[in-house]
Amino acid sequence: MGSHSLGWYILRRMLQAVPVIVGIVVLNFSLLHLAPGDPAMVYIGESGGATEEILKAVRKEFGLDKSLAEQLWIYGKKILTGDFGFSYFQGKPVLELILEKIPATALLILTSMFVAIAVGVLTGVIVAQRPTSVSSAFITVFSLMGWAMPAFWLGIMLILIFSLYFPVFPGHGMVTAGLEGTLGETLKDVLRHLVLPASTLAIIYIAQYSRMSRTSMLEVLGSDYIRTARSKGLSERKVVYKHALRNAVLPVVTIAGMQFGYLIAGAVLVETVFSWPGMGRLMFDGILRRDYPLIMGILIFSSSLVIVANLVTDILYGVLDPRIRRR
Amino acid sequence: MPALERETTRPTPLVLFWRRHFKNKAALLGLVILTLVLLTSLIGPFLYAVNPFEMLGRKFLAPGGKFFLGTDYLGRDVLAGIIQGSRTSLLVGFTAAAMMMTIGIFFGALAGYFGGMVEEALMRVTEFFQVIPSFLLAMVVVALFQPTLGTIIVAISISTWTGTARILRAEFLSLRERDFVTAAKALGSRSLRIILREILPNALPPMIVNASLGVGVAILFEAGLSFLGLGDPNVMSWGFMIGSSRVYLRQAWWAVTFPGLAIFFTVLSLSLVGDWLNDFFNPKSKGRIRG
Repeated sequence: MGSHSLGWYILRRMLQAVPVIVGIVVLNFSLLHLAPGDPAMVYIGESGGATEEILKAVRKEFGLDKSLAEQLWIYGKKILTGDFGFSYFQGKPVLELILEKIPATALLILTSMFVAIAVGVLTGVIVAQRPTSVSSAFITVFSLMGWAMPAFWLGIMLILIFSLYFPVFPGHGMVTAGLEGTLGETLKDVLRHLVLPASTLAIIYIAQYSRMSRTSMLEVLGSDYIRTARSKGLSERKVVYKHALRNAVLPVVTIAGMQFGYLIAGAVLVETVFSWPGMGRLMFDGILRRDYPLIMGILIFSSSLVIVANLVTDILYGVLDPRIRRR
Repeated sequence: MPALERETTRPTPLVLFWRRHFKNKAALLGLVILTLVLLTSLIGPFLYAVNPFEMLGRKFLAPGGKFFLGTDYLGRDVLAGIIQGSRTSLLVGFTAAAMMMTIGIFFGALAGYFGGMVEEALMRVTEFFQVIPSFLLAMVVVALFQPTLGTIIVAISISTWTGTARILRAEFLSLRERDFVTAAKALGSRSLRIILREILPNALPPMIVNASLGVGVAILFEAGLSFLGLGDPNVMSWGFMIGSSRVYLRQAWWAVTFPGLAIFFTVLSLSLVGDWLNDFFNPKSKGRIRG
């Protein structure tokens, strides 16, 4: 099989992720210690009701009387065994809190991303076939606007229009309080609550993806192998959707994977605006209460998510384009 | 017959001209807006010397009359907030972008010029920072080090420099093979001098574009941070206005809408100018340099 196989490629990529994870742990540790004040206070957070006993216990646990190197070792070991710290404000281990809220965020982010990629790529493909039309100009303008718009403001504007003035969709939370119904009814309720927050994120990304998709479609459609397909007498529809599309989707998927980090950031703002009970909202609450263990735990966790997302994108790329596997 | 049969996929000269015409108009619009914002931040507070933090009128006053843009839930003048906020946004925007460029140039130039182990090490560090969600990092830094304009600027710049670093590295990788560098080396110039005097000036075009977009990103970051309550409590900020008034959306939509529009138009104008600069320096390329 040799080094060109998919298996080896995946393994190589995973090994390359290890030093990055180490780097992130080191970075977090440095931030912790560079911050003004007693590191023990940072490990507890400012609203944990730090008594002398707790402070002493924390000092012992994190080895704050030992050398920095040993402290780093202790801290690193904890992270790698899943101990992301304890939120004294919420009274639960950080990792447990994160895992509780992750499904809601995953629902929001994945829905937004899928919608954005689907709509973005499709509009780009359609518009690429009429590069001088009004719709093409519209895409350009729309993409410029999407980049300049603050996500949290867009969300509030959507609430203003579709929740306050025209009460179509709920603008808060994930479920209607006190609603008890069948699984189908609950699902429908969740979906109704999902519309506005997901639309906020999706609009911003559709703006970018449609423009990118148009550009790459234009390039692909002018390429040699598409000309060959056409000269073979294939119908235009087949040329566009079966052959060109695959190559045009690639850059969009790559960028989408690369922007996973931005999606997480967007989730913080959007979840705050819509009171969506996810990890982003958890981050906001943690910031509000200076719950340092919680916010640093979320930072490490989301960085790990980005590493995984990059890995997945790389693997997808390797599947779609075998030339990549040689790297 | 589908439109594709008639039109070529390579734009005709007429199409290119039309596009350039639009782009020039767009860039002009961007420049006009940017100048307006700049003027507002410089002389606005003198022409309209109203304290945005003071409760001057009844709360929830609609725009019009004595308060041109209305008042918020505390009776504060929204227009004064917009004017003062422009100072914060532009100050943070330009300073953070300048810092971001400095860090990015440092990493990118050295990595691109020296290659080898230096490049490996610098690029590894760049990768760490790239993996961490930038806005989250900025949030954590500001929360840990207490929110002041200074920490916000530093936090934004250390969260956003990786794009600049990658661009600079690519530029230096290609530029260092060029004849004028070989000539300088033959003349015995030291590395630092070659980097600063020979290569960097030639890498200016993408740097300028990157910088203009960087200001936009910094403004969006500052707005987001202030929105979440991580802004400097002593200065007025557009993000803060949106964040504090959003609970009262039903009673005073103007207190949220106008600051948001201010952010939008400022960042848009920077984007338009940046795009035009990109085309100016790369008339033949179809791509975008967005780091």
